[in-house]
Amino acid sequence: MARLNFAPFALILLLASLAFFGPRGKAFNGPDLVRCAYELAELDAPAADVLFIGSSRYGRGFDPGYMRQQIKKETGKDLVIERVAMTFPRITQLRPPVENYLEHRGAPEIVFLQLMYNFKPERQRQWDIPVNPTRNVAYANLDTLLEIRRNAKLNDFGTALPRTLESGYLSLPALLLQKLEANIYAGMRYVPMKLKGALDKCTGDALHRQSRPNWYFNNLHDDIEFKESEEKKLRREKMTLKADEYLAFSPSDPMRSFEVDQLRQMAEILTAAGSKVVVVLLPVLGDTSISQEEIAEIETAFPEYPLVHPYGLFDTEVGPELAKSFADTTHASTYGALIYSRFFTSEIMKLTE
Amino acid sequence: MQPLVHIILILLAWLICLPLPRAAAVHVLTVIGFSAVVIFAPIAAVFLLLTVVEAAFMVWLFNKFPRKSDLRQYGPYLLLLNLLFVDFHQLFLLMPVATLTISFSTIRIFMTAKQLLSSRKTLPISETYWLLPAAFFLPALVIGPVFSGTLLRDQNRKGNFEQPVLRDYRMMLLGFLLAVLLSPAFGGVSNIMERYEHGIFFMIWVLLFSSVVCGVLGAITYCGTLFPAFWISPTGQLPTPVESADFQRFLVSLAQVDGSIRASIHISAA
Repeated sequence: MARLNFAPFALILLLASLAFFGPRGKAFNGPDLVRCAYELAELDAPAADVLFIGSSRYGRGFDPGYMRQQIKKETGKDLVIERVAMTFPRITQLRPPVENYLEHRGAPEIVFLQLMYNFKPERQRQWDIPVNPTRNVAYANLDTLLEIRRNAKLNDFGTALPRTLESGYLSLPALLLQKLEANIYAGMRYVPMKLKGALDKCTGDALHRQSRPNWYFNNLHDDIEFKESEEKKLRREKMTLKADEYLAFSPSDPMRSFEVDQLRQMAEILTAAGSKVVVVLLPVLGDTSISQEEIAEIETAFPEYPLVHPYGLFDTEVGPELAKSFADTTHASTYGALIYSRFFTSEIMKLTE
Repeated sequence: MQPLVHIILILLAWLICLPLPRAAAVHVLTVIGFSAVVIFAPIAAVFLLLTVVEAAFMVWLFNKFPRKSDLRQYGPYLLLLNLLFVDFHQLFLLMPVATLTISFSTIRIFMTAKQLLSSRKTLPISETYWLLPAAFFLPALVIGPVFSGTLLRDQNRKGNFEQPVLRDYRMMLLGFLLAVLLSPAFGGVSNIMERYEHGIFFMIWVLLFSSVVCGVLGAITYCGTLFPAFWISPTGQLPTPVESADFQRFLVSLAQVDGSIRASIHISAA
């Protein structure tokens, strides 16, 4: 029985081995797109000429491969255009892969940083917590996690106690324990995921599509036309009612202070690395114009970074169709993605003249 | 606090307990339990400390009354009002806070106070110390159960500490495996099941619950302590050896009978 007395040692040894080897296999829990974003950031290649950083609205909003071909056709320049995007418009989840990108591949010449913001009213109250979402805890290195945590300025809602005591905010030891837990789970998931082939998805165009079948990379072409069936029209009208309730970006609103600060931190990191940063605001369904006041508000919040937005397209001949070109309340349809790809192509050409 | 983190902390407690006398285990588990609550739910830690102080004050105050007096018998029920903190704290704190273990611990504090006040002997005030293990006993933080801190005291004073046997090792390993395999799968599908399949949701919850209890039961035997019986009456009735044995058997069989279901969950989790 004496050896049984030390049986927990076996368990501790097992956990320690899993925690040690787990992160090396990167079999963390979560969608493939996150793993692919990190793999793209650490690709053995020089930095892209143009990098787009944003949410799934970027992923479904345009085709960097198509844009590269268009630019080559029109100017003869072969610009490498890449995109690092993730589902959920949470800027903190993009910070670690972007920092990895800068460290491994250097600074892109131009960065189109999406002004990512939460648009659903019901989740705004706790949008800043946890500062490091689960994806960060799993994939990011500890230094980056701690840096993001240290520099986070939570929104002030006039609560009786500091918001660092709020449910969901991770204290430092809790963050470390969660990181340890994520590493152990990654170790356990490695073999089944390897056998399933789940760890080999981030290659070729799939890597640039970040393994999402409905994101675009080398799959848009000029023959795509606008079409909307009666059924889709009804669906869009219903969705428009839902989108009407969405929150506007409004960077001067105190409830946006965390998001604006995080966007600024991201822009500053990129600028310090040598990139030229432009900020991008994308429309949602039913949102076809931007006022001068809104533009001035954004320019006041981000004075160093030029604003790029496609709202002007709604006043052109493609405008009426573009206004209807949404797959849901926020993501562009294939036709919408084609129009936005052309828009960004011309923006890149202007910036690289 | 996830089941895996819970088990890691218990293993940490075991390492600390190794060079110490076995009687120290309950105190080590209490200190680490308190630290865990501070780490994961700081407001809950403060609130539970206040509840312990409140209970200690009640014990001190009501102890002055005759044993059969209504105040001494029913006064401690006031502690149960503290359970309302879980549902109403947002009204005055204006923000949600983690309420980890408040429900289980408040009931355990209440049961301890009740037990202390039911004593026929003169009660030294130092006995109120056992309100602390009732509040912060690490193995009981996440999944309960409820019991009186006086049971931990009695176990500690008897001095005949349990030696781990093969069953404890199996239970610890089984609990660990279930907790790490079942917990992520459960988290992933719980929202869907909660909406559509209450039966399955409940079944998997029971499996997860039983697996964590098994792991914890097995692991703390190594520290030299045991869980007090599950269904001790709050009115002061002490658990009988039969009840304790039944409880152990119930958990072991719950973990063993459902092997096939677990196997399928393991595969889907992987």
